[in-house]
Amino acid sequence: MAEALMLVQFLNALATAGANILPMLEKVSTLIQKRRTEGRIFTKEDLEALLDEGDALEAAARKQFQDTLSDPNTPH
Amino acid sequence: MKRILAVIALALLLGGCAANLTKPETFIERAAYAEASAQGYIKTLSALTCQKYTAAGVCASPGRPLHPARSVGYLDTLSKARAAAKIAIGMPLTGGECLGQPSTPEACLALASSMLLEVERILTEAQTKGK
Repeated sequence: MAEALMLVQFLNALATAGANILPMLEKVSTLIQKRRTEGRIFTKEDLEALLDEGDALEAAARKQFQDTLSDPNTPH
Repeated sequence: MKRILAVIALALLLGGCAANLTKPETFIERAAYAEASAQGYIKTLSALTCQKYTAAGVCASPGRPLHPARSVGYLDTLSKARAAAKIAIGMPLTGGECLGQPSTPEACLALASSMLLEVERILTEAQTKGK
């Protein structure tokens, strides 16, 4: 019973991870497919545009964590 | 037994997900999937990190088990993984340096993937605790 509960918890956890990760993977998948349909390839420039979005996402997450850390209520 | 169940669940989930994705055929496409995974993990990390604490020092939002100080460390790992993937795509086929070590593009992308898997494991544990 405990193992069945653990499996349910694990699947719930992965489903939550999928909620964030799967859309990102699907976005890349769609772009690769689009390029192939156009008779082109997914280029380094396509990847660089994706990397720029990643840089912005990383900076926003870092700011979120730093803002919380600088709150006096946050335990250290 | 727990480990076996976890591996079966992960294989089922990843198998189901992968079935709908366009298979990568080039190194650039594989690097793009690695970057997309890293971005998904950053979003997950952000969603699991406590944003506000009460005056008693308790997280005010349920389901966010990570302390921001720990999350900064995990974000640093994701940042390194992203950096390795960036280096890999710019590296000559003959090889070069990847995060301070002699490497090849393939090995550098593999290093990025291993760092992503490390963060995935931590996030999965955190999500289970946060439920």
